[in-house]
Amino acid sequence: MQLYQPADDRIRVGVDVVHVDRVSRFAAEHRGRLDVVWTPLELAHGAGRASEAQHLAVRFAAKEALLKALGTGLGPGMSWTDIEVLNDRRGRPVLKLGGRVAAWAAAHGMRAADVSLSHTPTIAFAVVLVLASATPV
Amino acid sequence: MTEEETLNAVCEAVTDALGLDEDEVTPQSTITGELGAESIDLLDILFRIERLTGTRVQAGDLANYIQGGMTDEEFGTENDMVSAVGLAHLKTVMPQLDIDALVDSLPAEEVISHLTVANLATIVTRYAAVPAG
Repeated sequence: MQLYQPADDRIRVGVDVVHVDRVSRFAAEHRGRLDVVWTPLELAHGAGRASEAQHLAVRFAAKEALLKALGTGLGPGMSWTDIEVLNDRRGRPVLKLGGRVAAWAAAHGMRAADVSLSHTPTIAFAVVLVLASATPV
Repeated sequence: MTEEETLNAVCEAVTDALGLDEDEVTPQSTITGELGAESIDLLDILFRIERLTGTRVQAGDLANYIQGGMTDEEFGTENDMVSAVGLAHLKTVMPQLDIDALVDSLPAEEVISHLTVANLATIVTRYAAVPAG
């Protein structure tokens, strides 16, 4: 079996698992600072839901998974809110990048990214796939 | 706030955020290494430190401080190991590291795992001395 990889591109994958109760405790402890981690749209989408902690946890997992796929941690000047996890019209999750993360991704040849989310009441899981040019710009 | 008070505050923040007993956290404990803190824990720790000390250190600032303002290309080699100039800087922010033993063998992405409670307290002290910009 041979791995298929386009000659001009590199495929990168990142995964992350987050314990929902850890995010729940974090949110309860720092209710007034959640906008450091999640964007207004992310917070609004989960607000008032019984499953708010799952909503926030799986989005945090997606942010982590993207950074892993890009091969960086939260680097100098980057913010968690530089990575936004939204839903398209059909409810499918999509990634929107801004700030230093978007700049870093562009500088390292990122052409596209896709994300898949899953969670139970206790575990949140995200997979991110990044397509990047073999030769960074 | 004195350096000792800052260190005590950082110990308290780490202990509470990670749900550990006081005797499990020492100034020499590595936060993400030995104590097992993950990203969400590190955020929790930084928020608690701010509440206890009044000094705000953001996660991205932490990376910038540890990396000494260098670009990734300056800080790491083509093999993603910390470069010579990167190691020289690390000696100033993580003085406990045996730099000579880490030449060409410290993956850049693993640097954060060497950050100790005392290192973080030093960073907080230095940020406290500089007005937020």
